[in-house]
Amino acid sequence: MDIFKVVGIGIIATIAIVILKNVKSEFALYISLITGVIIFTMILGELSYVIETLNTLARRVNIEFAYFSTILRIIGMAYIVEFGAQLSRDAGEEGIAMKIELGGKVMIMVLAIPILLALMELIIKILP
Amino acid sequence: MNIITFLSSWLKDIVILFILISIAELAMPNGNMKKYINMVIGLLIIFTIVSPFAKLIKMDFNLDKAVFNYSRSSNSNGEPKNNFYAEQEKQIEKVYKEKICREVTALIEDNTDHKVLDIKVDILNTEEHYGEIDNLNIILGNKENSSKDKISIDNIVPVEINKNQNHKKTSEDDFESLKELIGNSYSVNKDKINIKNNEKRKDE
Repeated sequence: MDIFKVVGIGIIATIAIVILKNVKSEFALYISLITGVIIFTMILGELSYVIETLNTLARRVNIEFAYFSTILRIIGMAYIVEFGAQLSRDAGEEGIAMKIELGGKVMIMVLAIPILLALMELIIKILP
Repeated sequence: MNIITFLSSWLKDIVILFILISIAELAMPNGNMKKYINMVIGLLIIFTIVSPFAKLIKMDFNLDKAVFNYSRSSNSNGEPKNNFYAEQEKQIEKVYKEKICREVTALIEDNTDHKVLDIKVDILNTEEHYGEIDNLNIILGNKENSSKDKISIDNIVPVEINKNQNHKKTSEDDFESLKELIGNSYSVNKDKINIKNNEKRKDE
């Protein structure tokens, strides 16, 4: 089963990192990076199935569902940003992590601003 | 519009949106970025709740077009566009075109006996007329009969139709009035709309 693989890889990586930390601490970072990538590629297939289902569900409804895919895209961006920031934090680089998060926030804002402006326009038009 | 259908479609939209959002919330990362995702979701919820009122007071507001315009103006500030913006713009343009197609289809099918087989929309790319319809190609087919059950009509493959003479004669005039109707509702020049009848060509 896939879940055993994922958890197994996680546990093995954790043990390896704990052992390596006393011997050569810089390898611990590489191991956590590689583990992250491996687990992510393993769940990618399942994740695409979930997103596909959500999208087909979304198409049945009347409201503008290009904007739902915008939400999905923002969630994906948030994951990537969190992954990078967490990795930097593990390596003790708090500053870099902050900067990665700043980049993610700005990118998300860029996606959100057209929706925000259109909504403002609608509300202003409705009010007499 | 009937008040019951209005309310039920509104409720349906809200309920399904909330179900989708609760699923999307499961998939969210739980760090710092959560509040930003929540903000965008909040905007969508507000839009879903507010937009039926716009329709209720017969106001002409198109979210696609508004988003389209804003993203255009904020991205074309002289800087070279990178892939990210270009991709987003392309997607918005696609949604916009699809929306026009859906509306024109509804307009034609409500007002005539024809069934729309295919629509192609081109939009203008010049600065001042951005987003206006440049060209509209419509291919029409005939509906099987005038029964009220629309779903069954869609499912039946049209095999052979005994067209009545009267209809054949007036179909050209029919198209002219249809063109005028579409032209008026989208402020497009009548000459830029092409309508073809597929069934007729098969007959002759």
